[in-house]
Amino acid sequence: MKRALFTKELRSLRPFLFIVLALVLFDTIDALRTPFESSSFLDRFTSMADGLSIIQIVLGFALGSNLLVREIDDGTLNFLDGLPLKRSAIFVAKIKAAMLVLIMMPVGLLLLNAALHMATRGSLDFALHPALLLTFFGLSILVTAVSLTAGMLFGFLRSLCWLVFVLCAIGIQLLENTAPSLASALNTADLLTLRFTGTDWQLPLPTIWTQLGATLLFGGAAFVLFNSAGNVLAQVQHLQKWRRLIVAPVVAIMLIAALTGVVMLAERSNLDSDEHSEQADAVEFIPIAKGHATTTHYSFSYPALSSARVSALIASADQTFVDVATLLKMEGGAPIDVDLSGADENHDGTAHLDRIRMHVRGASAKATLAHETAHVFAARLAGGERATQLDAMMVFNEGLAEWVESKLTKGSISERHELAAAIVSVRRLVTPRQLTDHDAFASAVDDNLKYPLGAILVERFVNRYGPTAPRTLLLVLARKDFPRDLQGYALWQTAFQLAGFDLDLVLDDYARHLKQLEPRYARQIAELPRPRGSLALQGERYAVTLRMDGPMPAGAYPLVRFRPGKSGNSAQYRTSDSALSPDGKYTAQVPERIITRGEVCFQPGLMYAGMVIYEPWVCLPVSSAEKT
Amino acid sequence: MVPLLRKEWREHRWVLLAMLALLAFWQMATLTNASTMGSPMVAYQRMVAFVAPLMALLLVNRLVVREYMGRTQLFLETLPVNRAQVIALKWLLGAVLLLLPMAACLTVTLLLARGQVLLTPHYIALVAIRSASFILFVYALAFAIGLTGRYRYFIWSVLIGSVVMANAAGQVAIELWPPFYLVQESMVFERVVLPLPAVLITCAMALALVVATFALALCAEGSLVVALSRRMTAREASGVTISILALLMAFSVIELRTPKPAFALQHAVRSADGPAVAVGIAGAPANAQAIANLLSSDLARLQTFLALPSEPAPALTALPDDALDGDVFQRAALPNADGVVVRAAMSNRQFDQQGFRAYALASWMQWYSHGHSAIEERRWLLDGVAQWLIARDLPQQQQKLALRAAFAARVLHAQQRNASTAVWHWLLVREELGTCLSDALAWRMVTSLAQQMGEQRFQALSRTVLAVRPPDDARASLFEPSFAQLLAQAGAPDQAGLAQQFGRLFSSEQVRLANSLGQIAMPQVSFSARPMEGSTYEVHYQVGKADGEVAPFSVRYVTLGPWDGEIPAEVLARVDTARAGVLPASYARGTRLFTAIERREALLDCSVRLAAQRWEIK
Repeated sequence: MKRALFTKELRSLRPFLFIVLALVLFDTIDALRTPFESSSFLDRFTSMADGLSIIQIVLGFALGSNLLVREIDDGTLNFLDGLPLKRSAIFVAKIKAAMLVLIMMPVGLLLLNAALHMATRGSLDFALHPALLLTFFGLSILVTAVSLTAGMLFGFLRSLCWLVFVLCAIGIQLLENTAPSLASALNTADLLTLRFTGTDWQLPLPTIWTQLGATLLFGGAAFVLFNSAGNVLAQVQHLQKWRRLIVAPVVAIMLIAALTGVVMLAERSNLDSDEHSEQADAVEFIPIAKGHATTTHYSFSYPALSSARVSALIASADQTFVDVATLLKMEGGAPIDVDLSGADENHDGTAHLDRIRMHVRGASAKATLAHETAHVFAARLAGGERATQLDAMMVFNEGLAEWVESKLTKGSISERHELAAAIVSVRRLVTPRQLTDHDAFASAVDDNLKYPLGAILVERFVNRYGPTAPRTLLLVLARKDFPRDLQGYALWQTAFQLAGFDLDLVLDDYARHLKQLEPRYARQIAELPRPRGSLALQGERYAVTLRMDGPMPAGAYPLVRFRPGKSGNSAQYRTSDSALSPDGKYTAQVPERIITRGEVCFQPGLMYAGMVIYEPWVCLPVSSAEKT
Repeated sequence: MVPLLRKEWREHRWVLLAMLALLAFWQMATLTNASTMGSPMVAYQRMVAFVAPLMALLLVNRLVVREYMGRTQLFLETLPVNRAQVIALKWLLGAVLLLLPMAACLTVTLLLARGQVLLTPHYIALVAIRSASFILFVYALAFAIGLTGRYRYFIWSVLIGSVVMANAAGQVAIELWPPFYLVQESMVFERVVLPLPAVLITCAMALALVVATFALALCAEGSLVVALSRRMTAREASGVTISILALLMAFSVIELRTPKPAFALQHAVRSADGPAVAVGIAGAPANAQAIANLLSSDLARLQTFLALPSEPAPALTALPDDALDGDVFQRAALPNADGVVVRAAMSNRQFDQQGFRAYALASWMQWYSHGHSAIEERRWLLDGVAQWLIARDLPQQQQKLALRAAFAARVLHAQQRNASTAVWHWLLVREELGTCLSDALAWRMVTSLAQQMGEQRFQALSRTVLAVRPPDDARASLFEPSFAQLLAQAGAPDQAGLAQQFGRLFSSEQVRLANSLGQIAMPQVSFSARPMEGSTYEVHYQVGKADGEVAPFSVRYVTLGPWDGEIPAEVLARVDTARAGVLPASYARGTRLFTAIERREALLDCSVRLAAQRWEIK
């Protein structure tokens, strides 16, 4: 009877089986579209793991959400109750059949990729590492089990089950910034993220235990509900009126939560949790009325009681507009809307399309206005609302604005900027081509280096191709037939080429200039030690202890930048200053909630002359910490 | 009609009130975050772009979908109002319920933004017209799709998928299409011009959707909508899902964008005749011209040797890059259509011109064969033929390569490798020797093979191995003959025979050049992992004596994963020093590393790699 039941369950899951097989088939076709040797096994494996972690969860949940409830809703459970079978047997048969269908996907994809590796491996990547593949398969089974049992349980909510699914996904995403460690433990997809130390899989034990617990919890609860189906349903139907009263607010709350979550996720890229966490306004003042001033080229808005502070800036604003336009060899265009009530934290000003927001801080305000006006002009030349390509050329965009600011205020690139560039050159921190890939640039070095390096690059560009070169380049970006969504070097090279310039010659000029700067600052650079860090457990908190390979020069101090896990966006980075302990060691505290999956990822750095020179990222397990 | 309105109110009042509360809450949240958005008006733009569509979906779901899926429209059919009036009432009611709250949102936003944004009637009208057109369109679309019953999810999926795919494949970005253009971020930054074409197109589409809505609702006396509202069977759902997946897969291979133009150097000297070569000018133009002519003649010689057809023949472009060392060359990772772009420090005093010429030829052959000639088992032939073609008429270069090859064999021997390793595991040998020594070793192997086979047979072998241009898909891996088969076809010794032959050659060369080799020091090199605090390790290196300075050297290192194959030269970190020291990094136990020492050897005139190894910190 049990065998017949299992067969019946498999038959009823045929539609899902077809979907799974179709997905495996599509992946196989995709693999055949390129020569097998064109991708390394690691690339293929990473791509498979990324895709599988999402597909497996969605498929598992979709299958689970109908598995039990359909029998109840279709009334076929009554028929099964008439057979000499316990409901527990039906439950087990359903789980077995569903798991069998679902694991076809990881099995199929693993076999496909292993076969491709066997066919293309060389002497350097000969090992298949079956233990790692088996580990991946085991984790896939856990992912499948969690999503299946979650679907089985939440399926009892009928049409609301997907809302719950979305809410859970949003909640976990939102936790990533505030509590990355908790988020990774709750995130089922995180199980399939590839993490290796050498040839060992770095198992995410907290996540595994959490997901195992969730599987048992969901599965147990689903079983209880399934076992009592009929009795509970009758009671629920008996409470028809009350049910409506309860369900409606619950649905409304869930909808509100889901929509709010979506908004919060959308805005997260703009938010820094530290900046916005409970900024207590201890003292409140009556809001100050707004003042407006309109000049030929700007319309300013500012607090009405601050007019004296902004008047000097407003008086010279039109001249700044003309100067920047002259430097960029353009006419300027429509007036610019400027909000002088402040800008984002850590920024003197920001420009967005035709609007500037900035702080007014003494004499530097004019430089800030010039810098931001250059951004507005650059965006206008690059197509205004179509200027997304310029945003992707971050180092050029910021370099151009910084170059304009330097030219108008100091006449040339400052010594501080040159020193930064010389350090970058001597230590080979950033290759010239890395300037074209902002993500790689920002993850390797201090993001603020884009200003000095960008300004020097633009200066070399202007030296080679003349003062109209930036304008010509920006106009190319605005062309409607400019290839879309290029990234990194391909984007830069295409823009330069279509403008009639050679990016590589400019990069060559830039590299040569940096080499010329090296001897000028050699003494200062030689004095800078290179830090490396190890973990220490101080009481209940972790810290990074730094070792230097030389004495610390005056005006320099070490610090450490952290991120949750081996990869993470720059919004999640945290920086800790170091303190000098009595035994002469520099120690930086590991920020709270940065330890993820049992490891600390950090980057020792040295603050010197207003910039930070970082060493490469290091990830160490907390078990390696020395107890002090 | 009034009783109908009352019925709708009674049925949906709580949901409507909840929706308004939600809207107010959302408005508050977006306005609170407006400080980070560039302008408070962006809050309204977000409301229109994201919240209005959701509200439209909710309203349509309440007014239409519930009615038909729950079969309650049968009750309406018994009332003394015709079907068109019911649909019209529902449509208008929903539109009003959507537009009024959004108008209130606009008013609130304007009030709060008046201090930071200069508000003029013209500006307000622009924003209002753009948002109203978009909202009406979205509502009309949702209403029409709402009537398609069980297929509404499918239609939404296909619609959204198509838009996403068209955005990914098309030249014009989605935010620039009407109706999306109306509510893109510039909606609240544009102060002068109304995008009239976009407004008209959007309104026309909304009108068309209204017509479609009524046609659908009234078709066959309303029975079509009723038929569509029945539940989907499991088989139908499965078919629909697979169809969506297949559509997505098919869409993903469509590419309608303007392609990136093929790489072309604007300011360069070009080869006088022969195959096209462009060289970027750095330093004296005459030097660049000389390099261009040399590379062009090399290419011509290669094409003759391999009997390559004139098409396809990509341009070879050489770029100057002063950031590189004199004996380091790079090939740009560009799409195949871009041809071959290589770069080197051509104005550097230590520029290895012959090495660069061979590198350019090898890169060109890799391009031609879609990378097939660089598969490990045949890679030594590729590297060796490139060197062999360049050095054929240069006795001095041959002497230099011979000495390098002999030293390479010595280094291999020190690392307990032999000629078999070179034949079977060439990538391993390349990694352990570095480019300079491995290229010389490949040259030695190829020279020996050419002598043994005779020029004509060797040429035939080279053509079958290197001059193939397989299709750029899996057929290249599945149906091309193996290297062993090609060797047999050309009458060359098999790989075991080659290993024996090369083994004898390496030994004899070491004896022949023993005097010169004796002048090249092989210092003791050691890497060791030592614990720092806890179980963190640091890596110490030492070349020669522990204290004091030795000849300058570089430490190259990188962390490895389990399946890392060939290590690109670009990823190797570097420490330049002249004494023992410690790497500026710390490692966990179990970390896998590649470490090596590189040292410039005057006698060999290049950087040699010593003690290269992959190892694990234990």
